[in-house]
Amino acid sequence: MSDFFQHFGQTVAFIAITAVVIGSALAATFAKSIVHASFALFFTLLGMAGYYFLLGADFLGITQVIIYVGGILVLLLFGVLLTSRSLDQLQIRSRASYIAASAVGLAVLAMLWKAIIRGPWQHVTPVVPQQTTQSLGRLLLTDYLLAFEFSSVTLLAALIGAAYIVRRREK
Amino acid sequence: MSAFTAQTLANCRAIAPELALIAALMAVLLVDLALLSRRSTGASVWVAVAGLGTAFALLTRFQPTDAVIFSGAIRLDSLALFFQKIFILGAMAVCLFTAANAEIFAEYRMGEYYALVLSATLGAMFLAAANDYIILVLSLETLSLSSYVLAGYLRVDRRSSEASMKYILYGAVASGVMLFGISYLYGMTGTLRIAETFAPLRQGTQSFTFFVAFALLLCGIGFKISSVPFHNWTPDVYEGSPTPISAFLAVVSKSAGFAILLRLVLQAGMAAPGFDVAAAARHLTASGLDIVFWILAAATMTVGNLVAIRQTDIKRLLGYSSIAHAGYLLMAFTVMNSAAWDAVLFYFVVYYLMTLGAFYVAITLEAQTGTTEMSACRGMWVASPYLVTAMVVFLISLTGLPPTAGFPAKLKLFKVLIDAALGTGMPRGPWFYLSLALIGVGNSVVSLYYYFKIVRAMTLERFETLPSIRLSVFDLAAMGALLVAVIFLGIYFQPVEEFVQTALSSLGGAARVVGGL
Repeated sequence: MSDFFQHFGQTVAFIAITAVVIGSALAATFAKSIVHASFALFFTLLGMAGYYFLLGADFLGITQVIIYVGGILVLLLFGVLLTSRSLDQLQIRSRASYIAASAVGLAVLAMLWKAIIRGPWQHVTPVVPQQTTQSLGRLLLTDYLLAFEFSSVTLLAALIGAAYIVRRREK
Repeated sequence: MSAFTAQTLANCRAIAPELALIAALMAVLLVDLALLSRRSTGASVWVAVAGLGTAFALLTRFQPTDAVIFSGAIRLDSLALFFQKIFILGAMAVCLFTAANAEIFAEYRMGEYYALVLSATLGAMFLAAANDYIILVLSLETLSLSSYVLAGYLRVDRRSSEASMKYILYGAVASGVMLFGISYLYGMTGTLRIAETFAPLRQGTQSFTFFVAFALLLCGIGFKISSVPFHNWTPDVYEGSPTPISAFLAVVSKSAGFAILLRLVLQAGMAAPGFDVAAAARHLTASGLDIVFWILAAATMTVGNLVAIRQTDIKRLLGYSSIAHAGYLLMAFTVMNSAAWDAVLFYFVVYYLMTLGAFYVAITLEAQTGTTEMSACRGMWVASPYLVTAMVVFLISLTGLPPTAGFPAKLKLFKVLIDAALGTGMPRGPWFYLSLALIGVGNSVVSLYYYFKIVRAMTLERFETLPSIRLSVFDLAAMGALLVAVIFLGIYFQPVEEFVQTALSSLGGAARVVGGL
């Protein structure tokens, strides 16, 4: 019986999160103002964190909240704030490009839909949720050691690039 | 010391060239910091070149193995070593070209520039050796992120910033699409090892979902090699970037894309250590991937060449020409046998020489006349016959005519297709291969026309003022070296053949491909 309630709860949570994610993603796509679009995106990104929590990936969920919600979105809003007002209104240039974009989008959606429905996915048996941080840390310093260390070079390159771009002109 | 630590230290010895590049990257930054004055420009290029040289020296001492290291993250086989060597030489050429034509960067500090060239090269090196998707994505991003900034290095120049912005937007979308495809592959097989995700292909259980995933993966790589329909960014970015960076994108970045494409294709047939070229071709052909490559090759070279006709800017023209060359290389991917891979690698060695040469002429033009418009080259024949002679030879080579190295390179590619058409036991009929070869030949004729538009502007067109060109000793030496190499290898290409043969030794039967034409 408790098993039923657990699954019931998970299903309800999944539907609720999905409604938020899809609804806010659509809102972000069709919003007229870039500020509105950013705020709609906030709920999409938060919903993605919800999925991670639902799947028992607690560390990933927290990371999603910190990086995307806390970092990238704030950055986006600051970007809007600091750039010229002319960017405020998002305009679609013509009806033709609107229709073309929608057609391509729907075609991709249909293809992905078919791929997801038909996919021979690997099903893993659900395990009791437990802390993932420790095992993640262990993996990062053993099996994924190279990727872990190499990502610091990636970040260093990004940092050098960012520092270069924002620096004032010397002369 | 635990067994794991000992293992890791042993693995670190295997990536000594990459570690040397990381050390050089840090050293460039520190030198730049220590010498805050403008003198640091001269110092950082030497630190970067020394690092690249050390990495190259370390690479030549390596014996390729089929073993995977770092828990299966990378695979330092002969194919990886081949590409890593040419990446390093390409990057070194770009660094020296930059230093010799400092006028282009007169208003900018150069410490970050060389640091980013090094990190981009590092990304390319790991990409060539990637054995799982995490390293693949990380190294591709390292290469891309560094390239985005380098494309926009001339911050005051609107076109350079525009190039950077376009490159970022296209690149971010391509990476996202590719990651999405990888997530499908992971979802179906539960592994991130490239070879293992292709298990459905080997077992003949590939599904619609698998093809969608593979197509999404190809989108990301198609962007890097600038194949149609992911080529739109190429001319704009090549035109706006500082010319040495356009050269970097045309040689190192493009060949890095091909290195990982080649690896993906070869991994399809691999069950045990070592590649099985024949099995890979069989599995991929059974899924119709050779038809996909046929379409990509035909579209890429045709679009690249036809649009190039109308160009008036040399850099933009070379951008379209580099799209066309990606198309020629993709021709070999329809055949997928050892001879095809032999031809691809051979083509890359020659492509590096002739493309770097043509871009070096463009760099000199930009540094000294401030523009790469064809109309600005009028009268160049009188101002600098040497420069014009060099350009003519590089362009003849890019067209694929004798007596230059471009001739055997292109002939090898066509020979692969014609052999496939004449051979027995090929999966498709002779016209499948022959038609692509004919399209390729037709395209080469078209390319002759637009390459010689540059020559015509330099030699035949009327001019009012003589362009002022003064070649330094380095200019003369660099152009001369590339010139001699392009002509010499057009007549005697045995050294390249041998270099390519060692690169193919990991491919099992490939070592037995009969060299020569």
